[in-house]
Amino acid sequence: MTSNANPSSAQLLKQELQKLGKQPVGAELEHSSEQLRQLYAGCSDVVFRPFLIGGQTNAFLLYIDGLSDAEAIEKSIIAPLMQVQMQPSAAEGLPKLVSQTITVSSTKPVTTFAQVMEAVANGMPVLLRDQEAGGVAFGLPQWEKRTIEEPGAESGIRGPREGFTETLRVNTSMLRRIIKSPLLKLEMMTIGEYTQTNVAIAYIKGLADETLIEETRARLSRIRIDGILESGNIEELIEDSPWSPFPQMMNTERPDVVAAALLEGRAAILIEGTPFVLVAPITFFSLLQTPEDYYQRFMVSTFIRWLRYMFLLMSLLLPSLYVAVLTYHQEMVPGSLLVSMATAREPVPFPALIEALIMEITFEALREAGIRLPKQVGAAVSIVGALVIGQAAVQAGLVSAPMVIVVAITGIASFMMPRYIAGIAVRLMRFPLIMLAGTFGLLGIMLGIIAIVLHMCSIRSLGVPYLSTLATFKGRELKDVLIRGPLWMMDERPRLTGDSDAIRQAPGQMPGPQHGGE
Amino acid sequence: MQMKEQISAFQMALMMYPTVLATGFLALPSVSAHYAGSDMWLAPLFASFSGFLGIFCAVKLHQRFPGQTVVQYGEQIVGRWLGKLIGLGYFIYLAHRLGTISRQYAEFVEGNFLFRTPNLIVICTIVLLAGLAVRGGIEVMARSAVIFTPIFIFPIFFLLLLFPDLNYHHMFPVLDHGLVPVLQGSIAPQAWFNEYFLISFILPKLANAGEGGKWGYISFSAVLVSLVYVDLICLFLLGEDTGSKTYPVLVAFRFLSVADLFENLEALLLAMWVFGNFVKISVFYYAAVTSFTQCLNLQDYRVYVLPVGIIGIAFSLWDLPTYPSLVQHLRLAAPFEILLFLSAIPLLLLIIAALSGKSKAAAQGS
Repeated sequence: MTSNANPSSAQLLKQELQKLGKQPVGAELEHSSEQLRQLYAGCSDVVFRPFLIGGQTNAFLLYIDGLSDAEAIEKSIIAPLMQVQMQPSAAEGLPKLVSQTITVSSTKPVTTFAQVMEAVANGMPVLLRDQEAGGVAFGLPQWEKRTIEEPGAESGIRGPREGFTETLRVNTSMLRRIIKSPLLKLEMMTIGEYTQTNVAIAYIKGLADETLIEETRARLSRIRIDGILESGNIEELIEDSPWSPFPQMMNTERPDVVAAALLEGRAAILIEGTPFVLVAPITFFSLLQTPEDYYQRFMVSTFIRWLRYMFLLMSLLLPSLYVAVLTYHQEMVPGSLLVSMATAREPVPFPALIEALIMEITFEALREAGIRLPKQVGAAVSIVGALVIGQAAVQAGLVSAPMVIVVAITGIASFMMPRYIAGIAVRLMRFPLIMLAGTFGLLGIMLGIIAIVLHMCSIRSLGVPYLSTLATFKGRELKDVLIRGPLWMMDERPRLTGDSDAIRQAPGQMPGPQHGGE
Repeated sequence: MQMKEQISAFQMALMMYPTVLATGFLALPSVSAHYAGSDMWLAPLFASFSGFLGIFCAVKLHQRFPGQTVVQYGEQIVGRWLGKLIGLGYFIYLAHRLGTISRQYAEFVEGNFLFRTPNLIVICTIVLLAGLAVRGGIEVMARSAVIFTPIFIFPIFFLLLLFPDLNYHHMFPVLDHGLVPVLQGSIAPQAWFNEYFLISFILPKLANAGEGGKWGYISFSAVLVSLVYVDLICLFLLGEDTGSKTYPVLVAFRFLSVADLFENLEALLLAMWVFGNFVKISVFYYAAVTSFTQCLNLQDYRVYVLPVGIIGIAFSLWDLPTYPSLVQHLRLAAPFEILLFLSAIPLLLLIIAALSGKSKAAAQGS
């Protein structure tokens, strides 16, 4: 956005639009309607509906076809106004008329052209009357929206089945249905010069640290961009460490996940047009937890968590360990296993490093193809993948069977990550580790681990250290990281930034027959 | 933007544990056994005095001059020029130690795992990573230590699997040759334990400085117990032979074989060695950089991380052409160097400060 001597036509248009937006809507209907017609010239979806109020006064209604409820407009705005008998004096004005005749529940006065544009774009028809400055916008938005469905990317066995949709209002209503307290705040703002995307910051006052909300607000309002299409756009513009492969915000489609985060004092960012809601601040461990961890019995959840941690390490390290051991440290493999591995590798012409890279890259390609392909061809990919990569490649002596097993286990392990973005970050880290293993053996892997841990120790999510709880060693909160402690033991909220209400529930709620009330 | 960096006393304790033991585990049993024979396990106990002294000096001096390191209060205690001299001495000593530690690290990796990789590459990689940690600040170092120290501690429990092969008769008769060999054997552990004085550089960064001493002593006690434990394992397994092995612990790990599955566990030792030495090198690196910037009153220490690292790498190769010369340096020169900088000077500073009644409050009052 450099301002040079000869502004481009786009800049001229923008300036004109801004100038017009600041003007008040005048009393002369002819003039203002002409201005609006010019403004919306070429917008075939904008409807101008001139009519006479009570058969005398000129008026017209402006709305966008498909964004407002046309039937309701007809029934509860135009019809009553045309049939109105009494002639309100000029002093009483439009608001009085509206309050007496119109049955629409929500109305809003508009005075400038900017307000008119905003109201119309949000599906609110605007009424302007001759001899009177300003107008009234009616809350009658209605457009086609997807029904609430089960979230596709986050399925589970136990837990609510509804997921967010693309409509912001529906999403906020889902949150409000879960958290009914008026302390749940939903602050609105618009981002994007052309898209004018509505964005809501959700938090619970008193639980979320005040500075945290301020910081979120400040970072969001710093964004200057033409359009926001998905929460990913916003995430990339407000995160703490842009040069990191690790996601510093969680995105989720599930209202219960967002509600749980809000109850822990985090903030959520809801964006119009996407079912993915951002949650921040998070730690790395929030990305390794599922909402179901808290709905199942705690022992089961603890077991599953450990399993997940184990496979996280596997998906990161298994291929590189295999390469390192095979290339440099054969003596570490038990004798009989070494013999069978050597037999399997005998026809393979490549060194282990190349073999691993070939297989890993092919696997990643298969995975990506599986996502992008139309559903009808999806099956073909898996057949080709299984046959060509698995069976044929081994028989042709291009790769060894143990390597196929290693890659397959690694693939499954990476799909165990409950958050896709976390899984993919870990998968990305695997390639440098394989390289290091091929050049420095075990030492290389360890150096790689040190580098990764150092990086994770140095990044933050909205000011909260990424490896918080573990690396900052908060003893009490560890019971929700190393294990999943029973609900009746987790009396305190995790401490994020600043001080906020720490007590989550009354202590000593461990159930038992003596507390039965019999 | 720059927040005041703070860590907890507990994190400091976790950082200091590998700082002493990373190289200590491998080197000390052999050195102690060389002098004390079957009484080698008593050597750490006799040496423990110096560790407690180091922590005591650091804590007492920090109480007198809160928020300052030895380089800063050194100036206040003995005057500007002498203080600068001491600060410069610390910098040179710490940079030199940074070099010798990385050399020790590289020699072990090379002698036992990567036989043909050049020394310089092994040294450079670890110093580079430690440099990244130092550049990230004490918080990053502390957080990574919380993750690395457990990885460092965990493998030593595997030595318990040696149980069937341990013969406790090796430790008898206790004190057969009197106290003198034990005292001789305790000189090397003393030097290592002295390194606890390095908390002088960390204490100013503590959020709960009052607990620094407590956690320092706890950390040191853990070191003491671990070292006696490792000494005993080596003694029970190898007997009088311990003194003739370069790395008795490596022998123990190689000896391990349980159910044909846990075999050749020296990979675990390599993990211990790499992660432990990473923490150790980054603590010395941090101390070296801090003493350099404070000695010259420089503001942003991050700029000087790389140059100090290069000096450290130079020290790691300079005048130490072969491994035997490194061993000779470690046996003959290093104990005096360590004793001077980590025991004698701190103790002298503390005595002078106590006698002249100098403290930060007094300095501000005058």
